[in-house]
Amino acid sequence: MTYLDEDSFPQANRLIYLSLIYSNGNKRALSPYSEEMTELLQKFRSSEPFQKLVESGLKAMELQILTITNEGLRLSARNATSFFATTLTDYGKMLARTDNKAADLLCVHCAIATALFPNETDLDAPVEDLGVVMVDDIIQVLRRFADQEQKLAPDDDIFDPQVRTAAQRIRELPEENPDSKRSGAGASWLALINRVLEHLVSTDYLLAFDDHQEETIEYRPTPAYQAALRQAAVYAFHSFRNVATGQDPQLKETSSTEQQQAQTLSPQLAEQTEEN
Amino acid sequence: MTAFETILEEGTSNRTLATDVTKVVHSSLIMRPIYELPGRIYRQTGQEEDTPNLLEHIDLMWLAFATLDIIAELTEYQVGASRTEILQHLLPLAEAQLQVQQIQVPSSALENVLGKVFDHLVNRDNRYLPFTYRFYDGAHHQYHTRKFWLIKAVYTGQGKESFFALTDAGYVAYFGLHESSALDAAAIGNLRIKLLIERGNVDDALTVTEQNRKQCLRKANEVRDVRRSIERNIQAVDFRHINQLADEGADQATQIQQESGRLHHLVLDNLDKNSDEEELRYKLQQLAENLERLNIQQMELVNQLQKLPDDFNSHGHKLFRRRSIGVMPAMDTITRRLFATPEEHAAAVGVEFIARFDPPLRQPLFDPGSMIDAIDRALERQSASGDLYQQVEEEAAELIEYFQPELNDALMGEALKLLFTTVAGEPILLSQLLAQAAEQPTLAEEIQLLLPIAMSMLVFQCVVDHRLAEKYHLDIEPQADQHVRLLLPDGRLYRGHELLLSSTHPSTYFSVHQA
Repeated sequence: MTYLDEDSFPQANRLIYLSLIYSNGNKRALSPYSEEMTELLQKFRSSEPFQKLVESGLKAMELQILTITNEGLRLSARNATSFFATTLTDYGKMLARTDNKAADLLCVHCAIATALFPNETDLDAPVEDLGVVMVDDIIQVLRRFADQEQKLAPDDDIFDPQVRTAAQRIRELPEENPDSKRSGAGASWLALINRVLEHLVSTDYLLAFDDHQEETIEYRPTPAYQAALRQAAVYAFHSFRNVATGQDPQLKETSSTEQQQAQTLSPQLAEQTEEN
Repeated sequence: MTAFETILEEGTSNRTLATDVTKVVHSSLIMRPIYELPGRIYRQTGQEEDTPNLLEHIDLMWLAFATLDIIAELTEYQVGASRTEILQHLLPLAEAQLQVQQIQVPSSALENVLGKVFDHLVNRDNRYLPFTYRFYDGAHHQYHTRKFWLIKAVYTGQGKESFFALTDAGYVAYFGLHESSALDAAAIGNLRIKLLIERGNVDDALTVTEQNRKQCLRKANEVRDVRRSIERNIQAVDFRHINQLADEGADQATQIQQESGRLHHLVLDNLDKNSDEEELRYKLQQLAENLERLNIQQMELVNQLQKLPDDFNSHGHKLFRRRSIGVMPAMDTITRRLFATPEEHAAAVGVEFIARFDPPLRQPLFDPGSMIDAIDRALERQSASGDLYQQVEEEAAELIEYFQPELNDALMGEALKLLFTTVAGEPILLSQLLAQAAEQPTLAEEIQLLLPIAMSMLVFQCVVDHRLAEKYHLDIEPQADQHVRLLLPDGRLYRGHELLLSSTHPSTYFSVHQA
């Protein structure tokens, strides 16, 4: 049985600091500390008081754990207003574009996720079973949904017809912009997808394989992507559920408490409580 | 479904002047890009010298509709047509127009105009986005916007050029149809099929095989997609659709197969008749081979199509699978909801999603140092760049004299070697060591002269730096009240304390101590 000693506080801070570096994908900055990180992670896994200490520290910094890997804790901001949150502008900088629209990016992200995890069980399935995804597949998903939204039955249509929907926005973008290399060229499905995929690959969420004889790149998901989606998409799912059920306040309450639970507990702990 | 379409659906029951006018306005908006074309191009090329003359003699609207027709024809058997391809087809038509009036124009000027026609039809100036027009809805006393493409870039994922295809709006514009009910869409589809049949190039057997092959490939791709979605997400697949696909697809494929079988016979007959001409024979044989391969391919396709319902059944157990414990529903259902959410809401969710999904950001703090760096960089850029990269004229250049130490590496190496060999045996006094160094006969003269000095430097280094001494396994002990005065070969005088040097290397150390 382990207990907290006086080193634990600095160590917990150290783990958070190193995990921030790890989550940012800065491998060079992390490499001198890899041994220290391993020790800290061992302590994190073995000692429950230490785990709680780290989690309360993360909570105080408005961060959340997406997944725990052997190289560190993958962190993200707890909400959009937190200090560490990646804003649309920052994301645009990372993608080297400034004219992004959050709704478009969300659609593209969701389309990629749908292409990779069409079933709810896929989010728990081993990643090797999920196969690869190519840009074609994502375009097809987008096409399918852009069409489907148009065909929704009138009674399913809970919005004022004057309100523009996300699908309408996507429909009004060209699939491909032949002038994409020109400086002022606007967004297109292909450009958005490629940019988002590039970033996902650079943050180790997806693996890109281009050794195929054809010149198309195949993308495979990593467990980190799966877990990140499970955690990050919870909010999106709940907010959609609210929209779908006409913003039932009761449902909103339960969903928000569920969400809080999921946030305060680490994924391992959350599983344990579900089993109990 | 927009409010406007509901008016269309309601039909004649509550027709008023307002609804009728709105309907006509709505459908004639489709023609607006084409009607706007001459004005647009006049405005663009008005300043130039030679082109206005050309524009007066050319029928731009004719060319615009010709563009639509060319694309319609080219896309019957391929996904899309590239810009150059379309312009190639368009150029002779425009030249014919000019020939009637007996006007001579350089073809580059003509191509330029045709390119502008095409660019306008794809709305290139507005980044290939749809044409957007506002119109007044008299029945609802509101303004609406209508957005549509005539020609749209299709994503194909291959090749360097992008491909364009007609949209439904494009077909509507071409056939001049005024949509008054939903049935028109079906009528437009029929017209497309008719166009295909009327223009069908049945005489040319080689092209037909090529076309059939493409059809076959297209169908095969469709089957592959359906199969994949059955395996991955059976909930999203409609069984009726599968059945329909299997029936229709099988019919279609057998038809094509019969046709190409007939062609095969025809070719074989021809082969018998034209057995004299070598080249023709070769071509016919090629054709026969093509057809045979096509037949096999189609057989496979038919098999696959008929297997589709079986595939569905074998994965059917997944339909009854218990909902997983997770809090989340399937991605497909979520995405459907997401795409139906109003744009602002989706944007809000998107912002939140990005924050929660992406790694936390390192916040930049204010750093005066970086400020100074930035100013420095700016100033450097202002100073003449020639100063930084001045080239040295070769004639003016003199070789820079670098410092060459007298005690060079080779010399120090020799001294070290000597030190090791002499100390390894037993402890030795510094004076003896220097004397030995002075009397090394085997070496070259310049080394010989400086060797004692190098040796004394080496000993001095070891005295100053104990780590160096450890590295050489040397133990240096000053001898009390003993001094050295030694005249070295090059005339220098060495003065100093006497030192006793002994080796601490394990092998020698033990042998000395045991002795």
